Amino acid sequence: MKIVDIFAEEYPGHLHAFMYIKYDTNEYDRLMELWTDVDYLRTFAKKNKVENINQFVKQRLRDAENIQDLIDELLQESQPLEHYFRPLHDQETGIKILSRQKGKTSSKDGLRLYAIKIDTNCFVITGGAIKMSQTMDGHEGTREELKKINKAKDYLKENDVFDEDSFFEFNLENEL
Amino acid sequence: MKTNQEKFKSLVSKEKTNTAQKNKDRIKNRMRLRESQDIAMKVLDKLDELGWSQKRLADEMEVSPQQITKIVSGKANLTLESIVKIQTILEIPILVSHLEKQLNDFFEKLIGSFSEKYIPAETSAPADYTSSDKKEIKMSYDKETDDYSFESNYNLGA
Repeated sequence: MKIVDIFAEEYPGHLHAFMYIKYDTNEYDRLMELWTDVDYLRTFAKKNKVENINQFVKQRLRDAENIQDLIDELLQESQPLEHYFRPLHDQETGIKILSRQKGKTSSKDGLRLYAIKIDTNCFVITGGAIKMSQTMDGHEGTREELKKINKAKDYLKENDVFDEDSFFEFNLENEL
Repeated sequence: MKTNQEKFKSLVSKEKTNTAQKNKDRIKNRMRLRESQDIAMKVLDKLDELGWSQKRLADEMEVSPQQITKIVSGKANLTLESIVKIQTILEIPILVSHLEKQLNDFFEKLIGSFSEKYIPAETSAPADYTSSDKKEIKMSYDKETDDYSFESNYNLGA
């Protein structure tokens, strides 16, 4: 896997994403392709026994638009990406090294981008999922993402992007 | 000593992405994309209703399965020709003109069945509007027979 600076042309050094071997695109692009794909969302809704399929599809399509708008707006206006990303666990406070984060545009947002915070206004996206349960353990999609974010963190640590003395994280794996 | 961010930067590939441009394009083309997404939803609903596969639709439209994949993903920038094909084959309204035609057909049919049922055949002759008397048509509804009847005090025809 490798890491790419996804908005490098205009705003270098702020938003990055992992590119995994099995996909030929970075995680942000891959997820945006899926989250704007009506057939994919509909199949997902059916598989998950969603009652009102078209309403679900429309909501996720609007959620994806909100992510596109917010990220574009934050980068254009030089606003910190912390307006979108926040710690994976709400209880996490203070400065953490390689803190695991979730992207959320609003309380109604049904899509989650997951990232690791490298520094102030510097993040690397590890993946993302459609939120289907309160906790990450509650759905296969988010369970998989939890594994991915942990693996990504290990990868960064293996490559010395880690300061053990100042690293601390609550051991709460379950909150979305 | 290198900072955390510097260590991270050394890990970032030099490879360029077009993510920023794609994001901007999605925002710029939003209205068109929303239309494509609405069409995709209508198509998928109809395919479910008919029990058709996407392959069957490709055959009916005489296009490649890849084109259908793009249509049902809601990302296709459809041509007028494709839209007309979709709405004709699947009988789903997409263009306003199609909807207008459907409405016109509906009203014509409605008026036609109303005339046949309630206006006497002799009304085909011109009505006598020359009389100065007050002209009235009374319509009544019979609950028992679930039928309407009309009474008029002027000549509806020769």
